[in-house]
Amino acid sequence: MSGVDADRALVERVQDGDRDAFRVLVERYQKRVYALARSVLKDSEEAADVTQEAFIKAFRSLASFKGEAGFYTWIYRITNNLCIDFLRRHGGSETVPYDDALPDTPAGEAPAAVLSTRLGTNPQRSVLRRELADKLEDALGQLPEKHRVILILREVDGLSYEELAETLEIPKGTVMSRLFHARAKMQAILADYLAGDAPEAAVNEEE
Amino acid sequence: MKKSEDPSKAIVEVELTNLPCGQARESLERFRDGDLPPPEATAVQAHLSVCPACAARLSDAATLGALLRLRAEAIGEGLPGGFSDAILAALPGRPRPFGWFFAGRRRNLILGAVALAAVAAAVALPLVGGRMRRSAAVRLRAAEDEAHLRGAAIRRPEAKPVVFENDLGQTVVWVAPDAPSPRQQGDKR
Ligand SMILES: [Zn+2]
Repeated sequence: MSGVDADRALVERVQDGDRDAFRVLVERYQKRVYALARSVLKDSEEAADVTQEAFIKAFRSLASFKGEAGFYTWIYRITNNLCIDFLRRHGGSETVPYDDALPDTPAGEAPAAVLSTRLGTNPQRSVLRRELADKLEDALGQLPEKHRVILILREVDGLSYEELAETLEIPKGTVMSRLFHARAKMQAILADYLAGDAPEAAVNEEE
Repeated sequence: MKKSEDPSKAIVEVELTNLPCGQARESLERFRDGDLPPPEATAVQAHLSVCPACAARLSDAATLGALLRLRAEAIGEGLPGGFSDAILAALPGRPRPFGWFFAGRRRNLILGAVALAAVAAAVALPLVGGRMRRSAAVRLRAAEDEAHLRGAAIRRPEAKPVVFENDLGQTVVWVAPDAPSPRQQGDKR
């Protein structure tokens, strides 16, 4: 049984009143939902609250869940919408304006291969790891929320274009351009960081 | 890819066209997915083999993806054990617990500390670049297998050398390599 089918079976059990089935769904997706929320909201506590709220909301409206789409695209959509609501309510958290239609910065012309050259294809855990984690947060923080979301859903959750279009409620063409700009910007920021590092920052990441 | 009407005589033509960088870049995302039809995937792969700039872009994308996955993993590990219990307990029909988790700022600190610890303990990145290229090759082989199963032959027409300039300003003369398939017994040539 594929993941999608397994989820669908669980959803049906929940619809029949089986709470334990819902627990399985929660345990299957809570980390990803939390990581998504944490990518938009930056604050662990807020992200945890949104994660909890997302599952509760999903549970409440599970009766109307038809199951044409996967449970995960549905829970991600709920989570994303809750995050957006949260940002709106607490205005100002989202400081980077963004318009899909706008031509993007020359970020697309990042010096290629800086990431893969500096970090190697198999960086080991090291002191740099922590530093890098901070830089990654920093770089994500410089992206508009829409860019962060699409990157996470794509790279971490592995959503297809169709699933992204559905989850984010945008046309497929927008998915592609947004993803392109998000990745280009992120790579450029990280490449900048890495290029600005003392050369020894990248030493011996690959043994 | 073209296929004649009679499946027994079907010929899958793998067109060895070279792509300009811009076009290759547009297809990189779908290439990573294995979402490109075989002829386009072949063209992108061929382009990557001669264009370090686009190849670098692809491996950078892979590195970025791996970093984001490590990050998400670390964040996910930051969720404390009882999180799902708290959610289950808060579902409609039961009282929602108050302060189900650490309190206030302290919770943040703990979550942050756990996340950092998880980052520090994160496992090695997989061989992202290598894996990406290997999987593209696997996908191509799968396409060939499929063609073979359908009784179709893989025909690779001879390609003319192509000259183009990549993003690094290098002039690349690309001569399509002979890529004889081990499974050409059905070839009607
Ligand atoms: Zn190129």
